[in-house]
Amino acid sequence: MASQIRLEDLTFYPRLMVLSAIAWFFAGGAAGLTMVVAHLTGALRVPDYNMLLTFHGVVMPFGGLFQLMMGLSLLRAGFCYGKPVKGLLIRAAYFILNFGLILLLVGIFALQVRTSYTLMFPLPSAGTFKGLWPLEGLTVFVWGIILILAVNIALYPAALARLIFGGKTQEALVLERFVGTLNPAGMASMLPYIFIIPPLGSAIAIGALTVGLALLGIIPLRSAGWVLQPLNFNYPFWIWAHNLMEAMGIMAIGTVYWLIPRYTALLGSSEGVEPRLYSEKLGIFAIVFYSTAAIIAFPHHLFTMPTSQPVGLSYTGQIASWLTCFGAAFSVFNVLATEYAFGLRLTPASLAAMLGFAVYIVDGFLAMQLGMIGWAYRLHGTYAVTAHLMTILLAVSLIWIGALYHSYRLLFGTDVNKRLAYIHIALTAVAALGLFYSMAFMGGAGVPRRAYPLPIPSDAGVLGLVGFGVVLAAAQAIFLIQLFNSLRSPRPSQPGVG
Amino acid sequence: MWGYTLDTYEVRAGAVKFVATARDTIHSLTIYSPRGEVLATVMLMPGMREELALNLREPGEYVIRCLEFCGDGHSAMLSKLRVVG
Repeated sequence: MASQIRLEDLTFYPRLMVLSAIAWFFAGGAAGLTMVVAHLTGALRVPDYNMLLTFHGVVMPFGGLFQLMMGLSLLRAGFCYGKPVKGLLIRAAYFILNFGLILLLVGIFALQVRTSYTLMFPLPSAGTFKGLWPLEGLTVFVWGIILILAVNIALYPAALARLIFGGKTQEALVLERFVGTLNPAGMASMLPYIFIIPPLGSAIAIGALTVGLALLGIIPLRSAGWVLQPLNFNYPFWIWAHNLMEAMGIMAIGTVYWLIPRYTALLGSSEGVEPRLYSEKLGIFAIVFYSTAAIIAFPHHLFTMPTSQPVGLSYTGQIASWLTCFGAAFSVFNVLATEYAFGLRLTPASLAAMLGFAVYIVDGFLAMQLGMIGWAYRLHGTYAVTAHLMTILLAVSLIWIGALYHSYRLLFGTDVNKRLAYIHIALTAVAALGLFYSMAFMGGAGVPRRAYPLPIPSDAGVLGLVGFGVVLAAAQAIFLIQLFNSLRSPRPSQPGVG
Repeated sequence: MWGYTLDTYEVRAGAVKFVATARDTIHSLTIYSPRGEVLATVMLMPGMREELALNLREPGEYVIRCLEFCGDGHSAMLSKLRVVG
């Protein structure tokens, strides 16, 4: 019954996810800032730096960005389709993700596992065999990864699919209706994640589970041997990891599609005007085109394994990588045409979405180079690749910050302090671009990523990393002030108030 | 774990073919020219054998570094190859 529906049914878990994501962002960000300052001062021991590197690498994308996306996308699906964001799947996704992250934390800081930014196969097991960290550390670390994979590949897409396709709409919870691009295919940007990630991630999940069960002694250790073959690991891993990044990027582009029409001058000027993109059909086409190209672009991660990767696969990866740029270009046209045709009102949500989208496109030009076989042989493993990875994550984060400001009153019960929000957004965008160009410069100079101390001096590059890292941290501190002020205020308890 | 063992540390200028493997974990074989430019990099995985053919025309000292994170000694993992005219 409508009278029994509470706003908390919609916002409780998304708010918990958003706040947890912010906490992980701050912890991981502090580690990142410490690392870049260490490049300037040399104050950290190598193992300590590598622990921070591993911690930063797992919590920023999964504890921070993935969890932020999870919370805000579930919230959007909930208030657009009028369905409560609660239930076993959503509870399990939240608790298992964060428990998995805590296991990784234990593995890193208590048991000394330091395997770098991402899982550098087969370093986790090699480190155990070499006595760098104990078997218990490896076991805890692997089970942390398994739990995160379970959420990433199964629980989150299942929860999202259930919200979109299952249950009945409760009108009291419909706070915004989807129109145009967002209806009926309107969740277009969410569909790639729901339908692509579970099948493409299942192979690496099975591999990780096999290793995890073997480490616990539940199955014989030799039965996990096949996972430790380089090709058996690398192809399932990159098919998942690459498409995860693409699916998160596509969902972010869909978030721009969702936000920008809601802040057009046309919509604000008269009653009865529905929010819409310049071309709804082009929006859907861009998402389908981008998703299709992205699936087969993953071989670009393995260009520099020339003996084992078939040439045809490498060229498929190169061509598909460039095709994803066409998908992005369609979106650029559509978003800019929307603003040209209908005007754009400046708000924290629209500014963050546009700046995040702009940073995403700027990074795309570097991604186009890294997606070419020739440049990969010159740049793979340098800071140029870090520039791409970190910028794509920052750009997507900025777009989701736009979504956060859009739903801020719904989540936290107070209006956004626009002045603080504009400073937060502008500084975050400046820092993202500054870090991008600093890292790209270092990459061009051949400076190896993930290396401490830097084997090739790069004083200007390190100064850029520290300077823009401080700007990024200051921007988030400003957001924290805004958030604390809101959390101290009482929240509304009925839907529709937000 | 963090070093290169080369069959020879000096070659004549011209075409050079590197055949490389990793013994323990992921590494890379990255060749820097005497002027510090990255000429090429390949990933090395245990159990796999990678080949890289380069034309090293410029005499001098070429540095070989690892660009794939391989543990605490990653930053210091290097070797040198002298190319003579």
